[in-house]
Amino acid sequence: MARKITVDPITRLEGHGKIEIFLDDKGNVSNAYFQVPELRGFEKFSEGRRAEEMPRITPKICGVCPTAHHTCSAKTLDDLFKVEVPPAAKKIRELMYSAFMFEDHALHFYFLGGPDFVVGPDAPSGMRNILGVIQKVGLDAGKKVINIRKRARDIITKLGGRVIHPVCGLPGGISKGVTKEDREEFIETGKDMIEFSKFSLKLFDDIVLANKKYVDVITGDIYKHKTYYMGLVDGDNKVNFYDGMVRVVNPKGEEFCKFKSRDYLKHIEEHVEEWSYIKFPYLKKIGWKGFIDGVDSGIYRVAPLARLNASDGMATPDAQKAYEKMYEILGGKPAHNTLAYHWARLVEMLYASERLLELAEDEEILDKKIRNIPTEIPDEGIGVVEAPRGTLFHHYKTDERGVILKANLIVATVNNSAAISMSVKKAAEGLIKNGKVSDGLLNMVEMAFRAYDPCLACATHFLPGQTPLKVNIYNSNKVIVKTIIRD
Amino acid sequence: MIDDKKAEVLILGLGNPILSDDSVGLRVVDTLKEIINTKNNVDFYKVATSGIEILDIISGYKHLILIDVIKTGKDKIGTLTKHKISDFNNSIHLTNPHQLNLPSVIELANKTGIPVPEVIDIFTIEVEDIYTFSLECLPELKNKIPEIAKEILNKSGVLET
Repeated sequence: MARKITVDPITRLEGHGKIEIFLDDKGNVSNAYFQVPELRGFEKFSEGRRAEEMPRITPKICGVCPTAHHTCSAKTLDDLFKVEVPPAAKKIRELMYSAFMFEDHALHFYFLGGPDFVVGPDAPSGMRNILGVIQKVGLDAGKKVINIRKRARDIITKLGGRVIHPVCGLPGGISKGVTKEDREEFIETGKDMIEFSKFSLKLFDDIVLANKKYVDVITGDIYKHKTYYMGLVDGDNKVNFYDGMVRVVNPKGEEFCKFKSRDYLKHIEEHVEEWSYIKFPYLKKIGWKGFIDGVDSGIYRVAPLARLNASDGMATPDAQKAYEKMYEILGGKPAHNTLAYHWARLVEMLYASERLLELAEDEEILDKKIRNIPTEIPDEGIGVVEAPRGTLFHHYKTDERGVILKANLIVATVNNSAAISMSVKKAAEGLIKNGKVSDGLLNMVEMAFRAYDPCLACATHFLPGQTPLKVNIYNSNKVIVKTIIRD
Repeated sequence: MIDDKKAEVLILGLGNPILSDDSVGLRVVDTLKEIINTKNNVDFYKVATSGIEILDIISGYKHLILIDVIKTGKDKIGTLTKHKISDFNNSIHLTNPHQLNLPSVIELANKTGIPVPEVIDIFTIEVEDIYTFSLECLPELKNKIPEIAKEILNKSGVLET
């Protein structure tokens, strides 16, 4: 008797993302799928528009990581118009981007995924949020989080024009430079960001690493997949969010390939399943072998842990120390533990802080030369950045006037879509045996996908601001025999 | 963040301007701005986010009027519904992949001493398509926006402030 279990977020959006779990005749998990909503017609929407509009349009795909889309789009325009960005503009873009990565990672750790550990994986779901974190670590910590995020976002506002949807990126540079006063403020904020990142890592040490039970959950088999890993690296193979080469390592940590963003189609293909709108990217040279991990499967992962796995280290001193400590405790590199994404996110938060300070202290950011005017005839442009949730590709083709003929985006969460489905399946397998569904199913399955910080674009302003979860268990006649609602 | 907060009332539209009917809340804010642009005690803001991200925006105001779209599939397209923040209390402590709910944001602000509006009115407008990229919304919604805007003014009492 086959049964179907649906973990369905009830939101204001019909057809929103959900998790479906299919059981076999014995009541054990045969398959599990992570589904996301389809936002229709972006390519068509883009066609016929001037390419210069794309850095303002693409951030509106999503209210969660607009700075990533804006920056990636601006870089794509640089490529499209074949124009070099002046050094000062490049540094200012990266400075703004570092502020964005910091505040987004802080949001995830304190508000979204981190509470699973700071408050505890067994804690009631109602406590696993920022309010639970404050109760556990104190009100002052809560104030620190809110204050430092606000200051980082103030940097984005100052440089980007707007915090939610920046408008500063132009082909060949940026629209606004940095004043001496701005720079002083950025330096002060950067220093405080570093301190806050260290405070967060210490918090992780004290609360998570000091608790054997939590460490066992992180390192346990239920949340482990041996996949390929992808991330942007600089010339020394160190993590870089803004620019560099895309590097992929195999499950043993050996370099599999390294390529420029222009060559992404030589290395990445997308698999389609009839049950999902989302595509499943995989490594072209290995091929799609189904939802399995291992060296023979083309499935790869992106985002914090993947970036660290795909690199040879961090480009800033304290982040490098944190990186080394993480791998020492996890038993070497690469680490395949999905829940270690939270830890890697904190290491990256420290890197973003240190990098921001480096850039703010660089006098070149005061240079007035912040843009080169494009003079070449456009045809095709490809750009890449590391978004908080992973590698983000933009690809535009235009006519000779720069009017979009075709646009293709591979967004971060899509890169992880196959791995997320595998993680959800593995968690469900551990919680569903012979038809018996453990009460912990929701928490454990949620933890599996939350580690990736998946971005469901249209959930950005769901009015209650929450995603309640419901599990429907169907019998072989597709009649609901049990419903579990987490409220 | 709104740099020049001078008014006591904030009319805040939530929505994505390039996702068909999702833009309706933003369009209503535009219309309200035309209707009451002579009043200097009202600020207007439109944004495509929510949760903790709106804390900076709403902080400092006494009265928040929040306008968003909703798709329940139960009400007629264009139906305006007024909610109080307490309507969402039943989900106050849920976690989700991306955000806090509004009551939790208010609770967080209260705990950390961030001033938030004393009065919060939430309006939702029933819509149909929030998945297709388009600058246009349904014509029937577009035509109804002036009526919806006036209804919001009546129900929020903002003209009397």
